[in-house]
Amino acid sequence: MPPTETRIGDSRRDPLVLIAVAVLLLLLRVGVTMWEHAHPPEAAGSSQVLPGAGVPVRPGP
Amino acid sequence: MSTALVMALWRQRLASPMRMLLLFAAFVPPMGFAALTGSIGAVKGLAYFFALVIGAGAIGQDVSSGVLQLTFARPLPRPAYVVSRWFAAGAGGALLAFAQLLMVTLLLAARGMMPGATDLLLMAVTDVVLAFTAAAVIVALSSLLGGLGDLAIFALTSMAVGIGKPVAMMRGWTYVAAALDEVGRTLQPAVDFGWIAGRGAPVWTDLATAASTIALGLCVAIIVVNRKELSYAAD
Repeated sequence: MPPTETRIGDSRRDPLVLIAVAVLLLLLRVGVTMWEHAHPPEAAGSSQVLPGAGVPVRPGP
Repeated sequence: MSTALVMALWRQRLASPMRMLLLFAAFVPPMGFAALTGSIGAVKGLAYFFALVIGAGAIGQDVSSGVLQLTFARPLPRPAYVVSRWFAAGAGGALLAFAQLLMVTLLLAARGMMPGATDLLLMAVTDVVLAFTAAAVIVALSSLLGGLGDLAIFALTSMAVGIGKPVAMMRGWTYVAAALDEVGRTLQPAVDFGWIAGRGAPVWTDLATAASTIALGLCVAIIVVNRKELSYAAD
């Protein structure tokens, strides 16, 4: 015999914590996008060749 | 989250010939290509497609077929239903991508071209992020439209971004191009974890975009499903 189903209260609870997290992440995304637009990160595998030297160098920190 | 709902979605998908055909087409030929080229790059990013195929119609088809009325006759919180659908699509996509990566690794190892452990780890992490992001996008769209309407919206939006962005850039409409770029990155974030292996600096925008897309997608889906009034008399 299957176990008796118990009532779980409101089955349509709004995800208030998730909404707060989503808003925070959206703000973080906007902030980080604007920051990285102003300060572009070093691209993966990027290197520069010094003019005339022919020596590939990694950009400094 | 409900394990029964996760297993039910996987069983449904396994019984769908069209989905199995699509998954096969994205699973086997790229493996052959990877074996030919000797690079695991041939199977990069396919977790997104796998999750999309598994997740398409995750909620919409339940609404259209009348399954949702029966599902919610059980003492199941609606947010748990949505999260289960999302997890099933995301985990399914990630697991398929792992299986593909494992087989490609074995193929390459047999040919003496074993990929590096770091590259494999980076690919696996990327697969997880892409699969769960795709699952969040498709579940959110699926909550809005019945049947496979989510795929139609996804395809139309992707086309609009693909065509609109170059046109906006050609015309010098900077803000329109930037807005379309953001829509495109929301639908399909371009994550690159190469920085973990010391290749370039971390691109935090990509990570923030993926995390934000997952949270927003789940929020939209839960709020929409919470407000659905289900009745056999509705149609």
